[in-house]
Amino acid sequence: MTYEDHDDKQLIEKITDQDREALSALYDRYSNTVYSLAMHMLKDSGAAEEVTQDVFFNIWRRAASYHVQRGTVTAWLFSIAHHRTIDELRRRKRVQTHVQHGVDLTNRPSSGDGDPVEYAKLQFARSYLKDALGNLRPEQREVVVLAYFGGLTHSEISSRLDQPLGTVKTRMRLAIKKLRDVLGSNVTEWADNGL
Amino acid sequence: MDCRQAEERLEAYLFGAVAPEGRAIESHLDECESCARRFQDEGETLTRLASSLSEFEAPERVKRNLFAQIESEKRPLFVLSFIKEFTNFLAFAAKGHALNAGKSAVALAVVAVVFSAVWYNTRQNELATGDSEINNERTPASNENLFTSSPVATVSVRNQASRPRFGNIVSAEARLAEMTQVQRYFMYRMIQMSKTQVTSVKELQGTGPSSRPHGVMFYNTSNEALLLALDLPPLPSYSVYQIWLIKDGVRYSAGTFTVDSTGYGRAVIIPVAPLAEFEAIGITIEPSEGSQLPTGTSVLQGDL
Repeated sequence: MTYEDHDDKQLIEKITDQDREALSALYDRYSNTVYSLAMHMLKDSGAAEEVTQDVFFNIWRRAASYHVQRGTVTAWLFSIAHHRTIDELRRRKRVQTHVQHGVDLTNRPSSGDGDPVEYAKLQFARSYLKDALGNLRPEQREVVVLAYFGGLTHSEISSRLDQPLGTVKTRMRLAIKKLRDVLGSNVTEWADNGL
Repeated sequence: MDCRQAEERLEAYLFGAVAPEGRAIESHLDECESCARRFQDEGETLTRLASSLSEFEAPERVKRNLFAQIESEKRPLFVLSFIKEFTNFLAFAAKGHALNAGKSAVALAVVAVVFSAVWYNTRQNELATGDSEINNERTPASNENLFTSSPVATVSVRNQASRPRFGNIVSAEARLAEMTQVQRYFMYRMIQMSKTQVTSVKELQGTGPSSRPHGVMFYNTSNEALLLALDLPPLPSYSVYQIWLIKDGVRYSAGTFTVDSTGYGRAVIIPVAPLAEFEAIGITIEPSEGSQLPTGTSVLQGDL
């Protein structure tokens, strides 16, 4: 049985035993999706590379901390990736660096540069997320874009939209419920097929 | 955190809309099955959202750098194991008592020499890997590399306590020389301290998600302390470990430090008040510029 035939949980178990081939297989399976998430949020291929490397290095070190209570391996992995990307996004905002690399991203919007929130909105407008977010009410969609792709905390969203914190949290809750209906809840099938 | 608090924060946590200190919900999820079940369900939804983005291909070098970083983590296990056991013995023998000056001189000198030898060898290996990466990157940009034509733009020197992000090639020799000088100073101070009559050794325990980190703090009546930490996770360049001395419930910053890729770090602490007045020491993860008060995850703690 090759590592490609192992399911995600089996790979994680092997990674816990410091099996590098297992990490390599997991990396091959999910690195592009992790990298893509970081790219869309950071708009910086160098930073996205570093985030991707950090995420899998983190998995290498913390594989033993995964347990089924955290959900599927993919959910755990993408939670790590998303939080790591958010941390990087917030750090960049804090130090106000503008990293220019002249990278010509395919499908990169020509406007909205420098503001990840605006970029996220443009991504939606270009239909990449439309199918997923199109069924949300506008105010729910806005909260999802600001939080998930823009890296704002719920307090920052509350300030930005001039809405009470409770309202922001309610919109998040309703957005997730709606997204679950839209994206489906066939968790087992998706997990077995590695998304 | 109870279930009510966790429920209030769950969606915000899933969306990444909480500040790092708000991720305490993770501990609750580890303990509460019903909250964990709800988290699982909603987490899957967001996983699918992430995967719905148009896909970019991660460059080959990311995988190469990842495994180079893992490789450089390999340590001379038997030596480190010895150091850990010896340090634990030292802390155990000194718990609550002052060490005899003569014994402490020998003990601290041995620890200093062994630590330095292991550290030096590990750094040499890492810098050799870093140098190799730098040399490999000095090629004309390929089609895969969409950066500017400058060959230095893609340098990624990982595994360093303070790594440059883009560019700034620093010679490996200069870096090693600088780090060796710092390490020698540290050794010198340790042996100097051992000459005094009273040297206290306090043990620090891991308090974060992993119980692996641990450390020791040596101090004497000169009010200078030396801190050694082991098995702390290396941090990204925008974070540091910050030391706090605690007195009457108030936290006083006592400096920051970083660790190398083996998780080893050390610091000299010169507190603002006599150490005998402090009750405890703690170490947290903070932004690289430091914090006025602890804001990040606590990783080590010990009584004084």
